[in-house]
Amino acid sequence: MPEPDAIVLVVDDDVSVREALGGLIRSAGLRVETFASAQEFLAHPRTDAPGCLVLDMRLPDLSGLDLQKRLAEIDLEIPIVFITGHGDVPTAVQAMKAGALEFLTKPFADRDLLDAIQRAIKRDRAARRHQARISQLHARYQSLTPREREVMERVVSGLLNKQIAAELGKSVITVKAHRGQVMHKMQAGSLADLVRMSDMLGIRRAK
Amino acid sequence: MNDPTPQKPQKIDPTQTLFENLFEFSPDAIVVTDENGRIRNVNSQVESAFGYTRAELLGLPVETLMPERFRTAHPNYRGSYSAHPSVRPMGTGLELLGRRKDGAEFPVDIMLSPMETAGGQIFLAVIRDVSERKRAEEALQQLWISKEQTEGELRRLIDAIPQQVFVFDADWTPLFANQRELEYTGLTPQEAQSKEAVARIFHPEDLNQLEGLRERVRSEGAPFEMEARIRGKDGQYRWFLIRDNPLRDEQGRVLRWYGTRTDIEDRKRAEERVRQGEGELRQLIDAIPQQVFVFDVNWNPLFANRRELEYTGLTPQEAQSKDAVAKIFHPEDLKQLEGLRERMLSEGAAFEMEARIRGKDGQYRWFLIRDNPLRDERGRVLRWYGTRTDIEDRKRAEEALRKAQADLAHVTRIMTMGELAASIAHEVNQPISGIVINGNTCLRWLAGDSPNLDEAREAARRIVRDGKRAGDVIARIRALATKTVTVKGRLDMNEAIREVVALARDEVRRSGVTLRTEFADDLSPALGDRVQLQQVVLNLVMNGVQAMSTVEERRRELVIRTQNDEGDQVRVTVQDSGIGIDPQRMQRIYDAFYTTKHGGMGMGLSISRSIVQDHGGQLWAMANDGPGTTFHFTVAKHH
Repeated sequence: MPEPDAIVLVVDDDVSVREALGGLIRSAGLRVETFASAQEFLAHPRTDAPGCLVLDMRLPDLSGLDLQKRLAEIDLEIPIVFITGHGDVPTAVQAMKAGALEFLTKPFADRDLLDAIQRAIKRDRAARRHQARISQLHARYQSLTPREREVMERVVSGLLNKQIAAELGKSVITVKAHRGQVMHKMQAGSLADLVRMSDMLGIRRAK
Repeated sequence: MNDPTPQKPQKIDPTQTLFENLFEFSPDAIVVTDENGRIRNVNSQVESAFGYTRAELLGLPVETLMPERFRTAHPNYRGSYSAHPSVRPMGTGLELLGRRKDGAEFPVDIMLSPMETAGGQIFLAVIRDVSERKRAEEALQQLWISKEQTEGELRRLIDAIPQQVFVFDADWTPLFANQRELEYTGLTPQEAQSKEAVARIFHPEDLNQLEGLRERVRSEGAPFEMEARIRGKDGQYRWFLIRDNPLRDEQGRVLRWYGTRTDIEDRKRAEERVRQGEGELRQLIDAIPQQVFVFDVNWNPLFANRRELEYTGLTPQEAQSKDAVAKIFHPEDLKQLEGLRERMLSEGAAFEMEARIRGKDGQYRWFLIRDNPLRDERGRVLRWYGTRTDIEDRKRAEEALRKAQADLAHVTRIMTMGELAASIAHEVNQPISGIVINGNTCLRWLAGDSPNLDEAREAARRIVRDGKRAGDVIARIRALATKTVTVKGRLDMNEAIREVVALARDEVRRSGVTLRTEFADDLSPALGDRVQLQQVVLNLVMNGVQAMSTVEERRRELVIRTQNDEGDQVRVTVQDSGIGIDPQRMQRIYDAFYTTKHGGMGMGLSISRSIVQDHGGQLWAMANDGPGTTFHFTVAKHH
């Protein structure tokens, strides 16, 4: 499945900086869209393309940190590269804790920004792939019957077939048949595969 | 007898004796009585005078011919006459009256005379009607009475009029002086009638003049008048108006001089007071420390006080010339003066201006020129009254004050900029960041085998733009930081505010404050000094931000508005949502060195207010309906 081109979103209220950033990013062969305020950014319809957000720390009305918080609230995950005019350590710490990818202080080398953007895009791609995989696994998991889910939980918990049969009050044959269905539906090549899948799905092992 | 016509002469009766004819023709009425008073005979005059016929009277008592009221007493008189008969008038000293038959009474004179006859003693009474004579006498008496009355009244009049009245002969010897003269001078009538009287009572100085005048008019016989001091009986001199008029004969020779002396002391004093008043006014005008002028409607000087001559060193002739101003006014101010005069001439309105005038030492000093028109009832200008007041010292003091204020404003501006250093650096950094990034971008487009020239050019264009922007910001900062003299000019307040707010933008943001501007699009240009007014705005913005620094429970919002005010002013308001100002401290916030800020100098509002007032405006604060405070200031519009 070919991935769409990445797009970089820039939010900076200063026209000089905003347009300079736009030009620089474009020179790196990336698509770019610029916004003068957080509100303008939020009002803009989201594309599904991978990318990152280059965000000025100090924005009128809604600050960079505020926007970061807002995006988290609406479950909009996008890697953020913060830029700021000041080496404001507490703010930087706050931003990083909230999941910012990079915190650049002006003036910064163009290479540093582009590298940060590339890293962010890469991460976004990875995150998106990860997300896609989870979605896929989740769909497979959804196709399991309740009984099959019970069997799967116990299989990934390391129980043997007869232990499972005893717990569920079924015959070993029946457990074996369910286990086969689980491996098939989840498209797991091995037990280790299935365990990794259950980890990704966050399925807890029964005690 | 009342009949005025003379009686016709009667015919003599030739049968009568001579005596009988004499008796009959006597011009007087004759009555003959006996010893008992009975009428024995009467002549024809008795008949006509008394209205009886002879026959009627014969034998009747003589009392028949007198009024009844005298009849009773008469026989007694008659008796006493009979006792001592003699020829004499009857009733000497008495008014005797006869009575006609018809009852009419008339005045009579009666002469009595006794006569012895054979038939005993008889009496002759010769009666003359004196009606005419009585009337003449009465008339004459009346005449005398009225003449005396008239003279007396004239005399009283002459004595009563409030003037001294004289009659002199041709040689000025007094013939008459009225009572006033004696009363006033205390001279006796004899002294007053002496030719030397004037020498005794006239003030020596005035006496000479009087004698000279008299000498002169003696030959001409012309009336004259003079004012002289005459000594009263109290020894005090009073001023009199002396007036002498000649009475001349047909040949024109002077017969008499009629003179009056009128007391004019009070008038003289009043005049003296007026003259003194004028003198004092004149002295005052020369003494007041201003130049004072009167011009005609076309600015020709009619009057200038001594100050002007003393200061300018102009001669009175030069000062009275219309070109005087050109000689002494500073050329720059002269133009303004002439322009103003031109305008005021048509408007007829007062004006004032400040101008430099050269003194005689060649140095210019500043003067306040004030001219007020005097108009007639129709409003036309008749005169201009002008003053020029030396305000050099005031000007210098003002200049010094302005300089001190400017210095102080500069210091506080620098301090404010120190507080804003980070914010200002940010504002400079932005375009510089842009330049650096664009430069790199440009190089990137140019690198490699197939450079993208269009993109490189675009980046270069941005570099130029941002470089200019950085330059502008730095120029603004320099303007704020440099100590400059006040330069008032046409100023777009919106633009000025925008510029200065940009410098504080980062600070505002870092303080978590949202800054909003609501500028009137049609804002009139202000007349002001950009840097100073920007300082005021900056100060209010910083105060607002500071007032909101502890606010957590609501938005920290700063709103800057501009609007055209009623009247000739532009208004700027800065509204915060901060903690507000304690009403009790509201009055103190403009005091120098009053501050609630940690590390603040407390000069901000004090200086802001001075600046605004220097711009013909006001600066004040008002609590918001909600939280916070709004500061307002106004600035005069530019025309």
